[in-house]
Amino acid sequence: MLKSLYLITILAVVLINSQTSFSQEMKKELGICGKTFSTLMKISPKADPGFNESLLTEEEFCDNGRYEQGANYIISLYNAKDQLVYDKRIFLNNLTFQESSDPKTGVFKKTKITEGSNSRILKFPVSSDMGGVTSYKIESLDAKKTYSKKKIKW
Amino acid sequence: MKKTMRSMTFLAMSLCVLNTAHAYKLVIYTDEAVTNKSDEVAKLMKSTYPFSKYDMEVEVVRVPPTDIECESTNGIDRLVTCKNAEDIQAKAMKRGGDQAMIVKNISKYGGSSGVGGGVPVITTGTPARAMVHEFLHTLGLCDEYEYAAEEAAGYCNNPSSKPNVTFITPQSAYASDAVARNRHSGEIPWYRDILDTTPITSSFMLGTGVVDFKKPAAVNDSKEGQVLGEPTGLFQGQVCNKATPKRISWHPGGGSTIMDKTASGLGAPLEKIVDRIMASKGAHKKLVVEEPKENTEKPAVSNDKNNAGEVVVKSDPQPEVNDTSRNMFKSFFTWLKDIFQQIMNVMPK
Repeated sequence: MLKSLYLITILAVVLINSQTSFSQEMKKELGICGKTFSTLMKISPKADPGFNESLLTEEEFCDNGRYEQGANYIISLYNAKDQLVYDKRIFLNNLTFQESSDPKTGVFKKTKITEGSNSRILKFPVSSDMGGVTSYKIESLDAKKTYSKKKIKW
Repeated sequence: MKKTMRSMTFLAMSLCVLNTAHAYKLVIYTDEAVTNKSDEVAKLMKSTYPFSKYDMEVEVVRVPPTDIECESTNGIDRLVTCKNAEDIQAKAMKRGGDQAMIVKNISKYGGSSGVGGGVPVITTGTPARAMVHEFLHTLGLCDEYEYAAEEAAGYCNNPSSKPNVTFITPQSAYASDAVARNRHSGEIPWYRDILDTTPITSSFMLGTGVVDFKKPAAVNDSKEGQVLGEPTGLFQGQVCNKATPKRISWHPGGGSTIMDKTASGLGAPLEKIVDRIMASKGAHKKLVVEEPKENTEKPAVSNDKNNAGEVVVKSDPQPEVNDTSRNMFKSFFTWLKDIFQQIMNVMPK
């Protein structure tokens, strides 16, 4: 019984780590997987939203979060042939809350809410069949506006 | 039997290590000489439900004070903001982080955060629980305490509903609870959590009740939600009471939550909401391996404890998961098909 379990463990490890189509298919079922494309998305009242810094690493990233709750932006990624290869709905608000609380009671004493620039880290998978990503397009669901396509600055 | 349990545990741990789904990584930047507050924040972020059920990785990074340019803003003491939050985010991104946080070594200020983005900031003079509050802002949740008139003037002029707050001007009376549900269900973001047995009206008036801000929600640092906690409903709040004209706000829970006071917990209704947000962001749920119980214990009451020693994956049913078994079989047959195709290709040779 024990030997069988160890055998199953070893087989499971080999299978998950292998590059067979079965394991690749399994990974796809768990989420879209590929190299990790990280970027810093910035919104500002004075300029169109865009990616500030972008980074592509070999580390595998499986995206299970393509549809964030309360999403207000749609990000579309394009390859060199201008084909849409990936999209993702994300949430990013333009409000900044500054607050202070009483250290003893935890009651909030002062608050200041400002509307302005904000940014967040985004991650995307870049699989081999996408043919790389070179540009992106951002659509604001709140403003009902699609901003012009921009090149990714690596 | 114990050996079998150990083997199963080993199997689960191996799979955990090899799992390709990413851990949600928080990177805390601090200029503390001794990282007491940052460590407290790290521990709190990992232990607070529902974050405790997710694979959360927290890294504390010490940097010189000059790297964190935080100060009081607009002449208002006790409010702090950091000028180089974007640089901090870029650094966190390079470390594989999903979210940057800042613990600034100043004793006299409070905390600040950007709603739905930005970098949550607290100071060493602020309770660590304030970071949970600020982080919930980055997930899109709004405050539940009453705003002063000047903030209400700006925020409440055109408020839109958020995961934990909605603004509904009620009718003077409703013929029945069903009428109120038909009228307002689309305006309540957490409507799916309100059971049929929980009314959203009381004495023909809108509202399950009024939020009792003197009743703090219990702090939950377990790995299980407060199943027996208060039911989700529609409770009248106070956030925009001082706005002109007054806007009536509504919350899912009937008690004070961490969005009202840092000392309060999330409460069962907020736990469900935050859990859904984390899942939608692709955070990966932990594989929970329960320790085998000794036979000297009395028989366990819940089904979970009767299955002690088994690998239990705690996950809520999600629409996209329903087809997993079918897809795995499909994947398996794709793999078999590939192998047969390769054999067939080789055969003529």
